[in-house]
Amino acid sequence: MSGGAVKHVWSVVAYLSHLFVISILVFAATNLLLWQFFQQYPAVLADKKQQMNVEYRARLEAALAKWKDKWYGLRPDQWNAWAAESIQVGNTGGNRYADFVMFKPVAFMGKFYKLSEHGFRHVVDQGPWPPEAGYYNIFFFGGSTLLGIGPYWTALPSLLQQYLNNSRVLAKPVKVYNFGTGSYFSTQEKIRFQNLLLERHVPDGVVFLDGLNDFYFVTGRPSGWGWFEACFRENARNAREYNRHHRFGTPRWEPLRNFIRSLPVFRAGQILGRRSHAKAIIRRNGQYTPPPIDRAALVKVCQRYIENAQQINAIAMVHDISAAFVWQPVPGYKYDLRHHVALNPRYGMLGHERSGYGYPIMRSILKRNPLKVKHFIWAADIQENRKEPLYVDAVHYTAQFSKVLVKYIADRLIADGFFPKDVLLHSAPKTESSGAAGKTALSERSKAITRPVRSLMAPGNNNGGGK
Amino acid sequence: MSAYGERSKAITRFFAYLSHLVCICVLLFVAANLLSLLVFRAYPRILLPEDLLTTYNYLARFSGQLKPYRDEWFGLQQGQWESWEKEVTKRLAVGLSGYEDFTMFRMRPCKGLFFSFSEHGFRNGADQGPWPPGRDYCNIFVFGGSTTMGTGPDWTTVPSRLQEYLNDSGRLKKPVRVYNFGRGSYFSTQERILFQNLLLAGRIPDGAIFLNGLNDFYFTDGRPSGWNFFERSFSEGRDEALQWVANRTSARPKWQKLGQFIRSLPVWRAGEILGRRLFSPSAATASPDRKYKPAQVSESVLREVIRRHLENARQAEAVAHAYGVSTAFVVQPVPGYKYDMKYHIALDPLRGLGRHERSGYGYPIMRSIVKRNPLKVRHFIWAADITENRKEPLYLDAVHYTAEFSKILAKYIADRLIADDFFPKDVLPVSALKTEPSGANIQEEHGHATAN
Repeated sequence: MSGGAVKHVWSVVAYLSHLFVISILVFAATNLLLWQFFQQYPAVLADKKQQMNVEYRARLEAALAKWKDKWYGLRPDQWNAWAAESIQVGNTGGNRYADFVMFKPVAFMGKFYKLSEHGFRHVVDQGPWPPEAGYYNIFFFGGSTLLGIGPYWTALPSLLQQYLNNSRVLAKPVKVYNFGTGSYFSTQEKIRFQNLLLERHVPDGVVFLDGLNDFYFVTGRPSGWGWFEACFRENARNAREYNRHHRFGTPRWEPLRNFIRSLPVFRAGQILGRRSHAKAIIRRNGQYTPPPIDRAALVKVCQRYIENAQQINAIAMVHDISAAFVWQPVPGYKYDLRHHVALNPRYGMLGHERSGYGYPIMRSILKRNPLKVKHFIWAADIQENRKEPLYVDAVHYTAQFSKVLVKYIADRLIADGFFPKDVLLHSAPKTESSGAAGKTALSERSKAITRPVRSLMAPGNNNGGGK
Repeated sequence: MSAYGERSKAITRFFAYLSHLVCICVLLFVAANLLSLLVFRAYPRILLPEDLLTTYNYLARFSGQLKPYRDEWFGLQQGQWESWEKEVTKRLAVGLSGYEDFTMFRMRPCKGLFFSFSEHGFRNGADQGPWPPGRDYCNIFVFGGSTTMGTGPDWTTVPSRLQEYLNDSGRLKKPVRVYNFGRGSYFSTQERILFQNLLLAGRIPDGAIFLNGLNDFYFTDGRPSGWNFFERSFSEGRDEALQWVANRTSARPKWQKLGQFIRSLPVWRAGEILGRRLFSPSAATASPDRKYKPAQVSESVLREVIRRHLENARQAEAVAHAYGVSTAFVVQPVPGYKYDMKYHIALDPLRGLGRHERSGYGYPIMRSIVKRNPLKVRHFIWAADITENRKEPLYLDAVHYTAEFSKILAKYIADRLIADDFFPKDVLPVSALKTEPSGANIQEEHGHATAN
């Protein structure tokens, strides 16, 4: 090779090496610059959910300011402390992992939120843990409407304990344990109840408040299942990579991909993509549009709830536990939405309108085949004809409406023989017959609770099986 | 030339040197990695960690000292071993399990010559029944861990043998179809949840059998296999979500991922191996010190396991009763209980029973508890004693049954089910054959348990 050619090759190599180093420096500088930018203007990273949270709080400070103290059961001087604590709770993530139910509330002890390490939210005059035999212990299960998003003294279980103890119909003091957990529906509640029994925590009574989340999680899969599945998939992929890596020493590319995706340059690209996509959506529809309703899916939801209630009832029976099932009020059913001032028209009910479509189906199923449990309370009608705001946001009850609901539940529990005779001080008062409660339809509950569940559903509703 | 020009020339020269140096370093680094990679490809065993070595050793033993037994133990015909081994290796490489709601994991569907897992969550057996189960059959779901699922070919599992035996016995009016819902690492809590989920989905069998004992005592804390992975993933995910909510830090690069990648590079691995060899040479070779030593488990822990097991049985039966499903709870044979370990030739001397000895400690306590207070379930079968006095290999590895022993166990269970009126009246013959009362069945000693 001539000297000229060598010189030429060398100059190409030199040029390439310069280009390589310059590219690295430019890439690093861009990342640093963007990182600084994101530190200064974090709002550019906010997505729809974050915007919604901000907007929700902003509305409570502006358009809904006159309601906020009353709705949340707070004194005016408590609002700021409550708002600060609710942000603090939000910063914990709200939930932690739990076997078989996927998650349960985090432990947190504040002024307004008292979440026990044992997985329940405190009530006023909280009972001991483990529960003691000197009390009549009730475990109350449900979703976030039960857990309560306001201060702990306004949550349904707290009000129930207070109401029952003040009613002077019970010979023993009642202690209620709030096992409400955000996003839980009947399947998770059942497993949670069973887990508690496995841990030897056997209450005297259990109450399940359901309806809203059963229709929200229409497929019967728990909140976050996709994320759990993705974790599992990633783990399997890692395991495969690990196998390869240990057998042949090939590098694990997945962590490198993860790292690259987390770089500020990559994030900036994502934001740009998201923004243009969001603009297209806003151009298409300015407001929230409910997803289409699939009637067959709603029938399946009803069936799943009925089966869960039957299973819970059977388990409670062998432990001599009284079990009651409450079908909760939801904004989409028998409530005049003109009074739902907390509803944000931009975001609507965000999928919770499904319960509004599902409730009439459930009602008609139960009319034909009453649920084979001893205590079933149809509380969904209690808001009919109420011309006032009952919800603090899309679906959670105001402190005042919680009281109304609790009184309704407690009266029905006492009247329907939920409490054993040795616990009642005198014969329970009969509650007035309410046409709105749908009791006429549901009062024909069977005494033969051992009848197989499959006979409950109307023919054609059963989705197959061995028999 | 001016001083300014001199300085700029010097800077350019310095930059040129620097860029050449960077490029040379990068090239050298890539070359070193490629070289290490070639070495590892040529000699893969130098990299194997303990868990992968165990897998290799497990299979290697069947090509070495256990070769004379392998076809018989796995129920294979002569000449099938190589294709069976190939399929096992392939299954292990792609991963056996996938995520499932509430039970946490399940076996991934697959279709092979020896391993067939349905997408509906059961393992196929010989003459597998349809899904959903048909009304013309007496349908039985069998739940359990890997001993129920079976580690041999599809047709050698306990559920498959059970179906075969019940149908061949001519003692039932209807043909029986058994569905093998055994899954690796499952114990009574997961089995109960899986059973409930199937009922929720409208899959209602005539009978459900739970074969338990081994894994309940393995997972003494009652937490599912891999719970720490789920917990870690959950908290990592939550932390990421919180960072995302906080916005400020969401643009921070994930340096720990870059660290993981760098640690996986062949050069790094080579450094690790060199370090291990230089500073702890004993770690690379097997020594008597590395032999598995069973850890002591307190009696209170074992009693808690038994209580959980019995509580799960009680709950499962209560739910089953509401659907009119017969249930039977079988306490399975385990190598640590009433079995002469002289005959357990498949036991790896280095790894021993690997925590499975706990069932050996727990079974006598369970037996005495059940003797004093007969279980409040209708059908309880104590099958743990059937290994007593058997002077032959019954296990093909530490705990899994040989094809022949699966047959024996299936026959024992089937006979007890028929004798104990497990089957609905429309399935049972006019006079169900009563098997002779077995001294091993402690429920028999105390009369029938009462349904609650």
